[in-house]
Formats: sequence, C-alpha cells, structure tokens
Amino acid sequence: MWTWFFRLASPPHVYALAGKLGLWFLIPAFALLAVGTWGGLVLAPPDYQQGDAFRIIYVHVPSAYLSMLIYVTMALAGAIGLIWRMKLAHAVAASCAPIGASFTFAALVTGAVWGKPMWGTYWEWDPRLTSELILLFLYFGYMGLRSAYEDINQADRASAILAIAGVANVPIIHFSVIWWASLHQGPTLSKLGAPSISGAMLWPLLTMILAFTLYFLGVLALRVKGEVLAREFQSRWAEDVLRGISTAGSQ
Amino acid sequence: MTPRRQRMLVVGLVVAGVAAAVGLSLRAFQENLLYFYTPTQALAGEPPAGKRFRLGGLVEKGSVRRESGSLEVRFQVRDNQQEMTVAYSGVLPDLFRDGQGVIAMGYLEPGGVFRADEVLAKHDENYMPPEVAESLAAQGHPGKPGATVTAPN
Amino acid sequence: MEQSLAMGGYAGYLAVAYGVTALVILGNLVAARWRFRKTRQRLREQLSRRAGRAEAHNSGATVGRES
Repeated sequence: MWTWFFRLASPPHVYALAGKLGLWFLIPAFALLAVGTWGGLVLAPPDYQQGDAFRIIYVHVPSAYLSMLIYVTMALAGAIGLIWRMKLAHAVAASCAPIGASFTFAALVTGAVWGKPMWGTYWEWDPRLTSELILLFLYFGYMGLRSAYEDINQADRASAILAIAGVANVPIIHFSVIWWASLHQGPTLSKLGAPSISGAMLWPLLTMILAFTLYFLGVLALRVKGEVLAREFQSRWAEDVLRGISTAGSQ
Repeated sequence: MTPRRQRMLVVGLVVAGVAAAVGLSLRAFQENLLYFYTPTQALAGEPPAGKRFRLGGLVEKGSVRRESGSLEVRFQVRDNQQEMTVAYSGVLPDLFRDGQGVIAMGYLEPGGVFRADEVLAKHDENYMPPEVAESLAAQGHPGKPGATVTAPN
Repeated sequence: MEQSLAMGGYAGYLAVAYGVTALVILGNLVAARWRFRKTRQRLREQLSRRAGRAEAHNSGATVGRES
C-alpha cells in the first residue's frame, strides 16, 4: 500500500512535480489574496468596538495560523525523515523553516500594531505573545543548528529532533488564551459552536486563510525543488537537469 | 523489533518526554504564569504583599470619574463577585470604556485602592458591525458586549 | 473617499500591518527563486570544474607515458 508513496518520493519525480505544483498553488493563492484583501479592507464593515483597526485581523490571523501550520509540517516531515530514512522528507523540513520564521515575524509585527491602538501597548509578556516569540526562536534555532553541520545527514537528524521536541510549543500557543488569564482574546474561529464573528467579516478572513495556505504550499514547492537538486547532485538525472538535457521541471 | 520501529519508538518517546516535561513545568509555574489577578483574588490576598501585580476585570458601568484639570481617573474594576477601585493618571487606550475588560499594572495602596501606572484594554473574541451590536443590546442578549471575567482554574 | 482612507485614524497601523505582510509574501517568493537559481548556478560550476579536472587528468596521464 506504500508503493505510491515511495514512487512519489523518487527525487526526479519530485523535482518535476514541484516545479509544476509551485505555479498551481501560487496563481490561485495570489487571486485569493487580492479578493480577501479587498473584502477585508473595503467590503467588511468596521467592528462595533474596534472600528477599522480590527481589519488587521485579515493579515494577523492567517500569518499566526501559518506560523503554527508550518512548524507542525516541519516537525512531521522531520519525524518521517527520521523514521523512514526518507531524504525527501528532510528536504521538505529544511525548506519549511525560513518560510515559517518569516510568517511568525509577520504575526508578531501585525499583532503589535494591533495591540498599540487597542490594548494600549505594542508588547506585553502575555502567555500568547511570549509563546509565539518562542516559536520564532525555535525556527531560528532550527536554522542555526542546520548550518552548524557540514554533513547534511547529520544536520537532517539533529534538526529533526529539535523540530520534534519544539512541537510541544504549538498547543501551548493555541491554548494559552484558554489556560491562563491573558491579555490576548480567546479563539474566534476554532472554538466549539459558531464562530463569534459576523458573516460579512468572516468570509474575507476564511479567504485569506485559504490564500495563505496555498501560498505556503507554492513557495514550499519552489524551495523543495532546489533542495532536492542540491541533495541529488551526484545522480545521473540531476546532472542531466543541470546540463539542460532533461526537461524535468524546466522553467 | 525492526530498526524502523525502533526509530519510531525513539521519536514517540522524545515527543512524550518533552510533552511531559513541559506539562509538569507548566503545572509548577502556574502561579508565575498567572498574567493577572481578579479583584476577588486580590482582595483575598493572593498577590504577594507589597509587590506589583496586574489586576484584571471589567470596568463597572458608570464608575469612571475624571478629576477636572488633570489626567487622574478613578474607576471600579469588578469580576463576577467583588470589585476594587483603581486610580490611574495617564492616557487610556482607545478601547477603554464602560463594561470593557481591562488589565491594570500597579500595586495596592494601604487604603485598599489599586494605584495603576499602566492600564491596558482587553478586547473579546467577538467581531460584528455596530448595527448588529445595537440590535443585540436592544434584545438584551446576555454576555455581549463585555463577557464575564472568571479567574483561571 | 478621504474619510474611508483615514480608516478612523488607524490608517498608519493598518499600513504597517499590511505592508509588513506584503513584504513577507513577496520576500518569500523572491528568496525561494533566488535560492533555486543560486543552487543551480553553483552546481553547474561544480559540474564543469569536475569535467575540466577529468580532462586534465587524462591529458596528464598521456604526458606521463610519453616521458
């Protein structure tokens, strides 16, 4: 039952597929980004308490959600790489880190400029804010650890263990607003029952979340392509690609 | 046991071990992680005496008194049982209003007044247009705006 | 129009939030493509150096036999 999985994981196949997938994901992602931004900035009504400042939600929530989704993807890929000795999984994990770090940064900055006018402060050592900052440091630690090794196999193994250990921080980020008295408000979308946001404000948010997810998959594909090529440098197909003989994944 | 199963076990043990370590330390540090105390907790003497702490609760409706000619403002902060007077001198955040959740950083004066040097407004997870909020208020919808504040645990 | 652009006085905060997010989105795309091209360039150079070395080695061997 796993043969399709391993065929999928053959490097030349992945290389060719990643080039195509990148565009398939990125084109709808940018279309949805345009729709969601228009919906969020223009069509959605202002909030009853926060006025127009609440519109930051349309970039803050998708960024924060991606920062966690990417971390889980990275840890999962690292675990698959460790258990099945699958190099492709390690290539995916390594490709996740810079993307995840950048969206964690975006979540922190957009949250800060939301916090200043609404809460009265850019930053507080609140459980939610602190655990998100720890996530940023985990990404930095992951990238730092990778670059500390000369040997790529050692780098893969060590960084996968760090990623897996750090995954404990993800549920802490999510539940911090429920477990502890915090300045950050509780979850709007992911709680049981109906989301506590009116429909006219909700659809641009869901559009943006979908757009960000597709965008991540697109950029991930582009990064994985380069990563696979570098790792498979010694193989026949990679040489063909580099010499321009093979058309696999040509752009 | 195949080597693959062995590696699977190791990964599982790492996850379980880290989760257990994090869980235990969170339990142990729960007190320190407490971001704010409610008026009930503060009046029961839970915050260490003489130390600065954060007080969180809702601004009692109609309790905000401003001194003319200065930025000094006094208001009552309540949870669902007790309330406490907060004195503050400075600029309040945009969201500060009657019934709003606030967090004040400061200390308890001997007279039982909480002297704050920073007041932050906490907003809830509800987002709606003003018209919807008005019609909800007209229907006397419970809990909106300004949900109840309960102590953690 | 002017009133809606002011965003109730929050236009500055909104501009920073949307601006930083736009930079992250474009930056990731540019970085991914740049990195791919750099990797390909580096590997091509390695490949041609390897081919060059093999050639030099072959000619060196012939010279050695002649002397």
